[in-house]
Amino acid sequence: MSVELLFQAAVSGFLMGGIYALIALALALVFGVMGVLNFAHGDLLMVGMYGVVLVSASTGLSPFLAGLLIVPAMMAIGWAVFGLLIRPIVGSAPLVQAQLTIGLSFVIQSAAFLWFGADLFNVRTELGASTIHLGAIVVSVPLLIGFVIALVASGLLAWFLSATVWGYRVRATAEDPVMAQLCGVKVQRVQMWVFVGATGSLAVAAGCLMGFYHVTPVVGLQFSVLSLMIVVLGGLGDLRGAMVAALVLGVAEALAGAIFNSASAPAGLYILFGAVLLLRPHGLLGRGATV
Amino acid sequence: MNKFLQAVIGLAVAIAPLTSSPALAQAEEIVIPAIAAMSGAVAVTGQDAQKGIAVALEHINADGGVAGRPLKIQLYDTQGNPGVVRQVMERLTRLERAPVILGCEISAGTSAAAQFAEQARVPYLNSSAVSAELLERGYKWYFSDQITADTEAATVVEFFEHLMTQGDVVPALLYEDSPRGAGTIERIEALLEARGIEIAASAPYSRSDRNLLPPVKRVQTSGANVVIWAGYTEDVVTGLQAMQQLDFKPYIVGIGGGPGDVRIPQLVDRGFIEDVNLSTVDYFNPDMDRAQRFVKAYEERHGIVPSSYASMCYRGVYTLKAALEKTLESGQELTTENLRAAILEIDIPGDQLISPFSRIKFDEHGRNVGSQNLIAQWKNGGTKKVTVWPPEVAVEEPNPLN
Amino acid sequence: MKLSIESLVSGYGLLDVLHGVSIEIAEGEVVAVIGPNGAGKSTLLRTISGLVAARSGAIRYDGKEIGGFAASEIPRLGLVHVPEARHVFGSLTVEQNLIVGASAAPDAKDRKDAISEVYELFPMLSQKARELAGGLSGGQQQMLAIGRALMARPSMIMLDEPSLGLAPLVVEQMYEALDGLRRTGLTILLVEQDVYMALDFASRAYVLENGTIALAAASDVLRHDDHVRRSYLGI
Repeated sequence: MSVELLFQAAVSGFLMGGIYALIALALALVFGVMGVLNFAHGDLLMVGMYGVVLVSASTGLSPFLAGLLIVPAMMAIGWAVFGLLIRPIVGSAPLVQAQLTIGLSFVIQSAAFLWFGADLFNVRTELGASTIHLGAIVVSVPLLIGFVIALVASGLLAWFLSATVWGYRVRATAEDPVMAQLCGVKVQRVQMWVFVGATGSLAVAAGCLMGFYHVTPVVGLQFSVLSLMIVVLGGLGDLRGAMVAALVLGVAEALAGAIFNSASAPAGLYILFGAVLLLRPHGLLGRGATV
Repeated sequence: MNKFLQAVIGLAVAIAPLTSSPALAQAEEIVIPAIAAMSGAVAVTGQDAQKGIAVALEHINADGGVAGRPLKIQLYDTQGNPGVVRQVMERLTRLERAPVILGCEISAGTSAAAQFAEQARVPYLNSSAVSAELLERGYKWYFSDQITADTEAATVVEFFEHLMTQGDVVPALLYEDSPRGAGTIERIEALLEARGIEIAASAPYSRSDRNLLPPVKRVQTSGANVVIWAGYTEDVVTGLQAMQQLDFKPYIVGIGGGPGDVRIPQLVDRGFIEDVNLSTVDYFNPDMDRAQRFVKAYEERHGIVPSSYASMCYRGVYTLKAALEKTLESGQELTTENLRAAILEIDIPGDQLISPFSRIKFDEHGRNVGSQNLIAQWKNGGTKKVTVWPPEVAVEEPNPLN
Repeated sequence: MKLSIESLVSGYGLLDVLHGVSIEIAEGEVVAVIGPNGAGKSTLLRTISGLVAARSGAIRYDGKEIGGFAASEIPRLGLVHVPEARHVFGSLTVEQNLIVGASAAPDAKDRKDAISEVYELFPMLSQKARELAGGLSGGQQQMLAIGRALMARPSMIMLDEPSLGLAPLVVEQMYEALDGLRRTGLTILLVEQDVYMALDFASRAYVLENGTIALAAASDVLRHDDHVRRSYLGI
């Protein structure tokens, strides 16, 4: 195991982490503003990934562009999911929320099986194998592009929250929904728009992923678990913490894979997760709510 | 099959309803259960099983059924989960009182099924799992007409030795670290070591890794020019992408569901497939004459060449039919004991099989002594698998070691 | 009548807290509601502002029945509620808090003017405009809460225990500012623990005990009432 190989893994992991950050940010936002931990988050991402495959296959566009194109469709799906499932469970007991969103996860997976079958799909692009060489380190170009797009999207989200009037209202709703109402903020409307926006941002993340990855009806689960871990590690409700946690997890996952290179590598991740929670129950930056 | 017979069958198929002829419709249906993973992570296998079985039934019933009776296979979903396999087997053996069970399950599930069948004393006919270990447990009720991991490993090493005759060969092993991948590679490693061949690198990886640059890079830096690779479709696609990024073009001898997946040309750069001479241990050659009826019927229904998995399950139904017919034609009832005895008496010659076997005949361990592998290579611009080994069944020469 | 409440019944869960409360406030008046803890004073304000659903009775603001309105609708009508414990948005800056306060009156130009007015009223807030509200002292947060409520350009403001936990000097400053607002014609409904302050500032008061109005009179009269003197003025 050479240092160079470790470095190689760390670089790839860091770039992956940037994409994870966008995915987890969407979940963190939903949790922060309406207190719902959506266990079907990864499956919604998977819907976006299938969407990217369909658009790329029929138009020949790159997956990154396809991801942007399906944003409205994903927002519409988010609107439907919010109205039918999320709004009724805001404020419910965590167990009820978990049951219902896990149920949604199964429904989405089954629908994917029915529609697309079990085969995996990917998008082949000319960029597919391009690389940039940083010394001895090989950086996959599609991964790099995905990282940059995800970073820009996360940056836009952060800018929206910190510099626009609508962003202030969202943060006020997240912090104190009752007081926000007294200020005239239509809290339910805000919650709906946040969920719709979060689902829309999953379209962008899906485009980033399909630059180098594949989709099957069961990939949703791993991304759900990953985002949940990131959101908790970052401190429930803390957006900046979630971004840091995403990068940390990306690197840790890659290093574990490179060092242990076996089916037990993911176990290392869970051990790390448990350890961090023990030592920093408020999340990595110490600013979140405890689990 | 001669033209006259073809015409008769064609006529029968044309006149008769899809699954049975008018005469058959009067006779009592034989219903036999089968198990496969139709959902979950390995759902592709179950879906292919279903398709293969459906075509087999269509053909068998169009040809007059089993001793004049229509055959129906009831497929049960095990979700690729050994726990569910046990539940399903319990139901089939205790409640449904199946006289025999056809297995199109993956190795992990088949182990659980075999154990259960042995306890329940119900014959289990496996057509898909390649586990050799199951045949070494001394089971009396487990039969496998499928090749085993030992056969696979032997075929790989033979092909590898052929490559050695063409120049300097530096081998490396690349594999996904589940029991399937690791187990196969272990056997190959042992065979290579027994022949005094040194392995430059051994790089396992987790199947769920999204980025395979590290293990592939490790193989590249070892100086290997031949890579023996055991993997599933997801990781082979990811790994080939990594090789392309590293501009690493070894001669790849593949094993497992991945390198031979019929959809590889849609998922991977075809030029690159050719560059690495991607070859794979295969269980089925769709170009063989004796497989044409199956291949054509499958292509018509599904628009794609049948996968090896589909072909295994098609073959399995025919093996089952042979056992059922043997029992019925000697005037016996379809009981577990009678079917077990019948299975042991089967001897189907190779030219009646769509699989590249010399025959189907079971020894006292339940192993099919006539099972054989072949090696197929992606040719025609990386679009079509062509049998290149062993020379007796090869359609073309394998690509030379460049 | 600016605000007219008739036989209001409301509560939480299985309990009624208000058992038929009737109150009238004319435009420009300053009216106080005093009474012991648990009497229902906060519940009264929360029912008027729509956080708690009225179970029976009528609430009329500017002649319009507002009993069924959602809480986020009420500020739009010109009625704002500054709740107990201030509830500033700690993770937002002072200025961002004010901007959120204008959610009921979303015109951007209007917003800038409103912010200037609030800074004129509470100069300290303009100095801390870019600081996080969570870092302000209790008194500063109270000013911010009031300023935020004013961003909606209300014609009536309801304050719940504004002097709670504040130093006497700060309380004085706050009431000076409120007095300024009164003189501009703002109608004020005040729930206060500090009964002296309440009766000084308000012209009238209701005494709410056990969910019903026990007494209602001019402040002067209440100051000399035996019951009030014994129970609330400690005399």
